[in-house]
Amino acid sequence: MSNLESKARINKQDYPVSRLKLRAWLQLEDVRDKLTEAAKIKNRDNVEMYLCEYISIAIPIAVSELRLLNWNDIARLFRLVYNVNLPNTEYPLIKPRPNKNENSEDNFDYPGRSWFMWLHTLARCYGWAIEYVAELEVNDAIALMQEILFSEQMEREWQWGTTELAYPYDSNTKTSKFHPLKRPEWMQMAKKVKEIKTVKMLKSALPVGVVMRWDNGKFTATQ
Amino acid sequence: MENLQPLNKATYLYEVIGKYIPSHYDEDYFAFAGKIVENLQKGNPEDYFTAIQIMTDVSRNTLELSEPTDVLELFMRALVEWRIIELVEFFREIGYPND
Repeated sequence: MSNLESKARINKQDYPVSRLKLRAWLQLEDVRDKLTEAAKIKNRDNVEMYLCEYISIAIPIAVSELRLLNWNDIARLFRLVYNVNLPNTEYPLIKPRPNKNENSEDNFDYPGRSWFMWLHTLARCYGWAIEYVAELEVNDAIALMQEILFSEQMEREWQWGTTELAYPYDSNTKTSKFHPLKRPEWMQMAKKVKEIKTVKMLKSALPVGVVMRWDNGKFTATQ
Repeated sequence: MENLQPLNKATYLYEVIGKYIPSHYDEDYFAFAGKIVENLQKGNPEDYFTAIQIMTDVSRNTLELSEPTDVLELFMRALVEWRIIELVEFFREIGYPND
């Protein structure tokens, strides 16, 4: 994985823009979530604070100094930090998808929980130390997380298949039919849509008479 | 360090004027600025003066005593200085509503 670093010019001085490791990247994402929430409710002070905080996570410059910059410099730096730290969005796990229920937040949620969730899952699976997990490349961490969740799902599906719950009895047909365990949305998104095969139709099944087609706002008769 | 266009002022400006800025910009600046003024006339005229005050720090009293064409010119110039197109684009990008 690449470890690219960019530079940001602020008041004639160059600052490195880091491509962050897992822990810092999750912190960055948390701040971005807070920024989005503050923007949604038009909280001007918080928008300013989170924009500066976001930048200062990746560029070694104090929030107090960032507050002295013009808005267009802040916007430029924000975009730079965002682009440098953009993970590979091809992973189904992090692909954007419609949020069905925005109020489905766990009631035991707490600030910064995402880091502990990632740490817990990766450390439990591979036995790695906190320091090691914190320094993982973001794209590697996402790929590993996806593999862990997928193998856990496979295990759950196997267990589900061994229980009676998976074969509910249908009194109408007097048979039991297998009902697979529902997969998380991101796994369903990864499914490839089957191509529809072209099949030959019997002549007797084709429409009789002159067939009219609606094409570019005009009716045309097919030959 | 210069701080002529601080972020908090830019956010306030966006709140006041963002809803009057067309989402489509066709590179004819005068037509674009004209559309903003037209939208402002249809909307709340107070927003016109508030936007000028945010961008220029000229008092309301001075604006009211000035010629309307001078005020309009000041407004147009300030829009360019504040890079209003980029400003609106940025705030829309971070999900700041402008209704």
